[in-house]
Amino acid sequence: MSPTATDRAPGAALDVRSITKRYGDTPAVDAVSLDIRAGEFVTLLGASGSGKTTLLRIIAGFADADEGSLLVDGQELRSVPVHRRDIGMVFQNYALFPHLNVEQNVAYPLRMRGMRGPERRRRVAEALEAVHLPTFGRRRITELSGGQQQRVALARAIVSRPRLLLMDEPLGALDRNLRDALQLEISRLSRELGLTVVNVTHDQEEALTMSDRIALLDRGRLVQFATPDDLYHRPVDDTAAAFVGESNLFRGSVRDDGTLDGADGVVFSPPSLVDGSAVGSGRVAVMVRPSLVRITAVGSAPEAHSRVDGRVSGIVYAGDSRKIIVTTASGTELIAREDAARPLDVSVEQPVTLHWDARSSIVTRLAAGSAGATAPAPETRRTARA
Amino acid sequence: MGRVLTNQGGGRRWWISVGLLGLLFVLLALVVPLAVVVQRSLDAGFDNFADALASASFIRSLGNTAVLAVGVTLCSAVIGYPYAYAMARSGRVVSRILLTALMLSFWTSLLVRSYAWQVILNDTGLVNEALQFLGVIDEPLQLIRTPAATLIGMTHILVPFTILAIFAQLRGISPDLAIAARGLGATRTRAFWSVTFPLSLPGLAAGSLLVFVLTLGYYVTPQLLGGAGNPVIGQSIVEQTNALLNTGVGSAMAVILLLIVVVILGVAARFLGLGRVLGLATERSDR
Amino acid sequence: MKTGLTVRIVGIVIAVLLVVPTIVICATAFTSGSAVSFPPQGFSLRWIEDVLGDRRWTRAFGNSFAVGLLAALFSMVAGAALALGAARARGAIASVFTAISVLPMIVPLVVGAIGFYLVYARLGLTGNVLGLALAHGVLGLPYVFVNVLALLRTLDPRIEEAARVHGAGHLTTLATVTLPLLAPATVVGGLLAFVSSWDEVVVATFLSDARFQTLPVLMYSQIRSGVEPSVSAVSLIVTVVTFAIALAVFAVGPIRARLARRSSRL
Repeated sequence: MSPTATDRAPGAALDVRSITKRYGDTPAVDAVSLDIRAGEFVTLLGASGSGKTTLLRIIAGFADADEGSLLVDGQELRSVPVHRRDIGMVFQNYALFPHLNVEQNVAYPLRMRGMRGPERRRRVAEALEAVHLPTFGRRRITELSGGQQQRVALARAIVSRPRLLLMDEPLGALDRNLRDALQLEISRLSRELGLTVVNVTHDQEEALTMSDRIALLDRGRLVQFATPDDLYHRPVDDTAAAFVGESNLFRGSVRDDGTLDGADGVVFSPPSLVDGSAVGSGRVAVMVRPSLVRITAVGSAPEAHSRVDGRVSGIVYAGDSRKIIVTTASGTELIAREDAARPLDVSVEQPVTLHWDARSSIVTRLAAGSAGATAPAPETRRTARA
Repeated sequence: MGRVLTNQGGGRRWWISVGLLGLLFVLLALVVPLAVVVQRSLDAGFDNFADALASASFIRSLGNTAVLAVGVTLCSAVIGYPYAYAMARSGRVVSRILLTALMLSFWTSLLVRSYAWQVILNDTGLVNEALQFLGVIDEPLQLIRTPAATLIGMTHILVPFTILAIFAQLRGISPDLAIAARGLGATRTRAFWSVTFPLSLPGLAAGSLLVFVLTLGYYVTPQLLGGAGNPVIGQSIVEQTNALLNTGVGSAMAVILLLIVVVILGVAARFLGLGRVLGLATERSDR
Repeated sequence: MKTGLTVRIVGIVIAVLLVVPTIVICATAFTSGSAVSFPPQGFSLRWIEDVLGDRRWTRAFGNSFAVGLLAALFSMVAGAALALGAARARGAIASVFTAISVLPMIVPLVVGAIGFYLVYARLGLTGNVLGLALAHGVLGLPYVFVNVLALLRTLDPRIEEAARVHGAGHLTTLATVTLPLLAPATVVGGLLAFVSSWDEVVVATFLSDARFQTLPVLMYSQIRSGVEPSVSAVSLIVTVVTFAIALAVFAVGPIRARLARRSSRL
């Protein structure tokens, strides 16, 4: 959208300060704080029931928090009624006005702001051009495909150059190809316009692709608020590690000698698994990404690598990669992921050794109340949410 | 931090205030008049009620109404059931014809239909002419101004409610059930009585209840077809208020009628759900 | 499993009985004789012309139309308002809205008529369009309420949230989004309310006087004073108007269904 590059209106900074919302006794959102910078693209990521949608609705003004404050460029937003918050919003099911045509839908926010005449027409045309639907103005909403409807919804959300752009699972109803194309388009558009975006999704891939930062929520609490890179490589605890990307997780206590108690059969190398700070800190989780795990015949793993023996229990192809599932003597399932183009040199039931560079092990704390905090055995969790 | 005005609550409050607008209209236009009827009925203590209940003609009209309501309900059930069944289980053409006939009848003005029955049942009406032509009778039969005329007219007016209620119920019963019963060796008749009929009973009950309650309040049709000789409650009430200008007793009678209706609906609501009964009345209810 | 032949024949016979009265009356309107008889004697339009040329009938026709339109308007505004309240309030308040909306359906007309008469007479609301329209408006309200409520149940609340978040206040959202979306159901309910007013006799009799009569009131008094073909002619006209409205309702029905489908898919 080149015409607007000259008169872009950068989004506002949004300071979410310990927002809490309870339904009955259970907090749906539990003291969540986020400092969202102007022009930043932030995704609230979490499973259903994590509180991400509630938090978005609080920001939009459809629900009010019980505690905390929302500051937009330093001003309290909570006392501002929905229609004065200067927000653009994209809904999961688009929520277009079925009785209005495309142009009228996109013009709606401008109409509400009292803008009329040629200026309004120009802005509507610009917005439609930005979403690649310049000739669709007169179409009825019902004549559009799902993808086109979502573009119209996007045009309607950005046409007034709002201080905040909120998106509630914007791509949830679309098929995969369309989703991938729109993901890129939405990130491009939001960056070009300098919009501050708060996006909600349960799709970690979408979150990792589009966001400057991701706020990972779990049961109403903020687990981690970090860049995709940090979230992936430096999860703060086992919840984050398990939710974002695939992981092999070993939970246990760090012994005085630096090895992990409870992770039967796993030889961590070098023996001093963690630096001194983790020793005596109680239970921890050690995470290894499946893509960093190598698989060899028993006994042929490099000395310097951490390793564990097991038996191949399954081989699953997934696009360009394949997953090799290995069950250890204690019954734990671990995953190694390798390039599908490589020749397959293991077969089911074959005894193998899984090994990985010691630097691939990431030590995190255990989340309070997480399953691993009480379960003694090492455990592998794969996210089922991709 | 203090509780800031919640927008969601504000939203709910907004819709409540919108609803209150309509509520106010019903209160002023209907509830106040009903309250005044109650007040007028009590303007001499319970004397008006005592007078009403001491009136032989009112008691007789209560009996007439009860008999009429039972009769109309039974006739509607007997006529309405096969009709609804044929409508629900016939082929496209027959179903269409039956539905169209039903709607033509249903949408004809209540007054026009009462008038039509008057014309048909007259001494020189269609029925008497036909019977005389066929030589069945020599002198015209007294059909008009009889309880039978009221029964015929009221059944014609109200049977659509029974039909629609049963039809709605039958449509929700899969024909496969009866087919399955036949597959297990039941005859067509036995399959109907052992499977389809029991499942359709809630619709029959809802429709019958509605017809019964609606019959209680009718005035015009009994007046035109039954005449003044065998009055129903509605006629008693109108006579008190219009002819005798005794609004106190008339109001007492009206309150009694209202109480009867409310009690019946209240009891029915416990078993059938009021929505089920009244949901049908919304198609088109004329009294 | 198709029905047996017997059931179908019984059905057709009842169908004939259902429509016979309507047909008889419409036919007697075309008689050339001076008595209402079936089959009619000859064929003429004299009674229809008679009625259309008679000031009493045309005035009553005009009164009925005015009352029906105004009543439908009252029903639509109040019925839609109550449906919105019932759908969007919670708990006891929603129940109150629903109860008050079905009340007009429960009250026997005779009972309502006395109440209207007692109150409206004191307020000068008898013998004019406004009083009867208020009474008929409240009696027709349930049609609008039920239809609008059914549509509201299928309406995606996010469409209105979209209006709110993009700058519309409560009232603006109602005017620019909610009401346009509810229009088909409101109109259907309004048409039904019109029809129920159009042929209502009991309340109309109580609220009319010698100078102000609606069509049913005049018809009723004519029928009582002796059957005449002019009444059949009026019946024919009344029936034609009602059927025209019925067709309109069935025409709007598909539009509403389409709208409901649309909003459920979106």
